[in-house]
Amino acid sequence: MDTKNFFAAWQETQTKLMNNWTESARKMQDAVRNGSAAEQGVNIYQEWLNNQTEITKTATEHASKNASELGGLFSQNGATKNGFDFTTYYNEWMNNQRELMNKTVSQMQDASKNFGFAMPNAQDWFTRMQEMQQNMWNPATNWMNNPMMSNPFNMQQNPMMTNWMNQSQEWMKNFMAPWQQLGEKLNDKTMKEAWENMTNMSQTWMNFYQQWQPMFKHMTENTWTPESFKSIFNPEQFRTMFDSQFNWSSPVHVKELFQQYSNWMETAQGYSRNMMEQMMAKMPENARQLMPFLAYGNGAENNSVFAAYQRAMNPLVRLYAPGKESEMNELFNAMMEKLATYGKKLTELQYHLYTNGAQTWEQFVNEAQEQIKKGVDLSNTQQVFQQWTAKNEEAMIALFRSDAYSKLQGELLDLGLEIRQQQEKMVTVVLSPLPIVMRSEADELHQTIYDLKKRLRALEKQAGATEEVKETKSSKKKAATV
Amino acid sequence: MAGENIIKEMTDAGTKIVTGYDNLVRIGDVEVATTPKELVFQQDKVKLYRYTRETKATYKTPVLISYALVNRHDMLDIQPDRSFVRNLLGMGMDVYIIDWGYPTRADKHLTMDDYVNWFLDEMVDFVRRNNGVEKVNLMGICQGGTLSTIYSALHPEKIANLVTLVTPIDFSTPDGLLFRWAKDINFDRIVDSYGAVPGEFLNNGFAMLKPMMRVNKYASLVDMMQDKDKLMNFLRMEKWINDSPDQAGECFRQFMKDLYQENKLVKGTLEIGGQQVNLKKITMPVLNIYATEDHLVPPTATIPLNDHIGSKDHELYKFSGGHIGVFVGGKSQKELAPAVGKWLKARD
Repeated sequence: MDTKNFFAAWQETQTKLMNNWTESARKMQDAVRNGSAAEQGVNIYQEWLNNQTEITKTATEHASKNASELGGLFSQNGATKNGFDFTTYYNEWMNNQRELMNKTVSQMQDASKNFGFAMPNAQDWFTRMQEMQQNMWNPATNWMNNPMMSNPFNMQQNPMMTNWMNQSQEWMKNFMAPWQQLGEKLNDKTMKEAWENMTNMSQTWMNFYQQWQPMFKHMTENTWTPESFKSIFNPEQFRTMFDSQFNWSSPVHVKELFQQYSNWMETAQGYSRNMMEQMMAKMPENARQLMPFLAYGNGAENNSVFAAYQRAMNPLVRLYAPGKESEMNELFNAMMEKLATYGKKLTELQYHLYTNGAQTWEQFVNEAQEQIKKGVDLSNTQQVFQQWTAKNEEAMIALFRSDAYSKLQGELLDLGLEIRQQQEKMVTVVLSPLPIVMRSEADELHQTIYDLKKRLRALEKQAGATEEVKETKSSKKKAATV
Repeated sequence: MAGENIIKEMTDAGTKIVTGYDNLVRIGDVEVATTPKELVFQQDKVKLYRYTRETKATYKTPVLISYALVNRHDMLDIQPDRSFVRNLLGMGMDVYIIDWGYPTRADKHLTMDDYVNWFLDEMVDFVRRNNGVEKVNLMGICQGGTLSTIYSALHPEKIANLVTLVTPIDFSTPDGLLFRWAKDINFDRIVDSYGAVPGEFLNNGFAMLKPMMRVNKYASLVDMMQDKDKLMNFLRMEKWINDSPDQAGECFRQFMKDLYQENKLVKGTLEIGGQQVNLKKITMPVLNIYATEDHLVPPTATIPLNDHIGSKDHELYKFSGGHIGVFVGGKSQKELAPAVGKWLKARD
């Protein structure tokens, strides 16, 4: 059977979404650079939104087609509660990216305001953009949320499977919850972590159990056919199981990264402009709390002193904010572009992992079927689980050894660290007006200390050698005298 | 259908978890490296310990152990009945061990030259002074073995015998995943980003060398918890694994680029502190120990040492087991440690 369909479609969609993001971000960056952000922003946004909607729509239709063509490969996967919900998945993605795009555009608008005198329409384009988004987004969301239209997996086709998945999931949840809480009462750090890892890993085991048990039942009842695999294999659950093992590469993390950067950007953007103002606005109250005796004095007079201070400081606050915002804008856009590329490469890496894992799973199941036919007892799930992990490890290592995987992993690591460096640059820009020692400055200091230590060591060695020579000379003299 | 099974398996697992938890609660702190030792010398964050002996050493030449910079030397003394160090002491050796410490970002600039020609050299000199000997026995483990080999090539006059355990020398091997991956990794980026390369970062990489090990390990913990001794063994090992110091950036950069990527040690082009490292200058007796199932340092990376050195007295010791089994396995205590003792005694 072709288990690649689901993963291939998934990879293709992720790549398209990322490409769309990258392209739009690039266009926006160019627009800011050449001073046409206000005029072009609306068009760029509209184009991005259209593409985004089209990609998602195509992906969902493609998945629906897969489901019907493959005669039920995905038929059991439409569970809206416990199984994979294609609609929710892409909705989350789209919401996430939409939010980020809004913030980027908003940030650009702010940057453009600084040059507002040269761009008469700079003040109203954001409002226009928001209206357009509302008009376009609502129908798209409605379409995505309509289960009859968009859900490629019809759970009604296999209610027994859905029931099994729901029940076992519920059992597992109820079973593990109290144990997880017990771990909190352990004092030793090593014990606590081991307990936590054990209870977390039980989810992987449970995912395995859920997939294995129905297959095992068919095998022991002699109702297993090659087609059975298609109807029972649950790609999304399989993907979840893999993500729990390789949690470093979960797509959720990339989504979270987008979210985090988006939040961070928002905070950083308001930070320079508002921090000093807020501090000054709070100053009278804070001062009164710190120095209660002021409350007995002339409050109005005190307030006017603070007001005067505020008036004096305000221009200074406004001086640095605009310049830093545009610098931040450049850095932010560059970073988001890298993040999008990172997302694409991560998707590729996951595609390798999932397809490799799914193929191994299929081989494993076929081999198990052969064993059962020969009368081998496979009723101990724990043992079967170990057999599967051994086989899976072998396949994974073979994949890891390949040039393609190694190269991709290297690129991904490099890109991840480049993003980290970029982020540090941004933090430096935000914090630069404050009296804080930056990491680069601390590094310079460490270098100086290191150089001095090295010099000292060389001098000590030299002194030690001189001392030794002296001692040797004097002992030779003594020996000669004696 | 499978409902009955799952309830039975869950009930069994539940009973095991309760017993296991009870065992956990009854265990106090998880302690490792309990053999008594004394801090005798320190340079910066690097410390030298001497293990306490109740009787006089029967070996004339003291042993200086240099563990890897990655992870901690506690592995050699993980628990009293599985302690490589206790075994060496029991045979009558005077044992010193280097504790490389926990580098921070402030130590980013420390180079391989610093580790070899400063720290290691100072430690060797201290032991020589302290014991009144011209030469010491140097025992290098894993990366610590590579540094010891380089040191022995640069300062052969100070080393009586060199013992290397699971030490990577020939980095051109196609066998280990780590060696394969290193070819595609931009180490400059890692060092420039982190300064001090986090131990956790490296641990994640090591974990991926056996990707299902973590799953299996914790899945079998439920059973392991039923036996207090096995549980303690497990916890001690966990403690050791999680205790991974960060790596001084510049040393890490040179180690990974010059050795893992360019294999300069074997090619004879490695330079440390302006001096070329020539393995032919290793003329003292060498005992090279490798593990047949080592997935971190495969035998093909270890064995070639004997072909590149100048020494005529060299021996290869094959240990049937894995990288960690060399120090903690039953066979290690019963066979390997006595074999090392015998080899050194013959050259004492």
